[in-house]
Amino acid sequence: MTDQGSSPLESAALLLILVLPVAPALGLYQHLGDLLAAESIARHGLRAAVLSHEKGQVPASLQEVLDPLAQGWGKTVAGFSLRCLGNCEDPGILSLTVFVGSATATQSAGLEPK
Amino acid sequence: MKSEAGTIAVLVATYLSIILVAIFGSIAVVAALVGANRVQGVAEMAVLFAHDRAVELGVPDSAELSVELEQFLSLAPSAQALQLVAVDSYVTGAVSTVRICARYVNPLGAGIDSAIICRESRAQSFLIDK
Repeated sequence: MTDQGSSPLESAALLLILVLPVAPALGLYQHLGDLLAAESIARHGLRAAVLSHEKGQVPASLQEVLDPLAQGWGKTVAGFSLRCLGNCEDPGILSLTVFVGSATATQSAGLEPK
Repeated sequence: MKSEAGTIAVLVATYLSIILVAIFGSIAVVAALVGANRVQGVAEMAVLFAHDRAVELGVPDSAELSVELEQFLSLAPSAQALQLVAVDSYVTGAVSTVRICARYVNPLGAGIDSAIICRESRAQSFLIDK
């Protein structure tokens, strides 16, 4: 049996094998970070939308509410959709879906009963 | 003389498995936290919705609370996204309580899909003097 071989080559191969799983893991962590941020942004954004709706205002400027929330997480809101079930009449459920990176979060809340 | 012949493959495999277990373990924990956060969010919104509609003179009606809770859970998109396994509601004095249990599905698909996450939320009405 021979002891001949290349130590640098073996080290490089060893490091490659050990570092290889880190790349997809970082992607997964990024996705989970996006998920956590999206959930939080959707919840707080929905509260703002419900409050402005109850004041009789159309929550048209929701983007202005969502942007500072996203900045707190170091993220950017890629988009959002706000919809009201049953034309905002009884049972009056407001639903906000927020898109952050590859993550989507939906939060729903009831409006104040009339 | 002792032989030095051997392989470092076992060592590399051990390191690799430790790294993979650490990565997948931490991801599963964070994913479970996201799931718990989601269930808590639905429980909070559900109790507010049901309590608002079941309360009269500051005291919620237990039967009405249950009906309104069912309505919220069947209509709200956030609740429909959950795999609900148990829903409970009760009234203690002026406080409405909602307890929701949902099935946690591991996003990694590692076969760990039997965990149940339960979260509870309460609501009470207050009279605010103007």
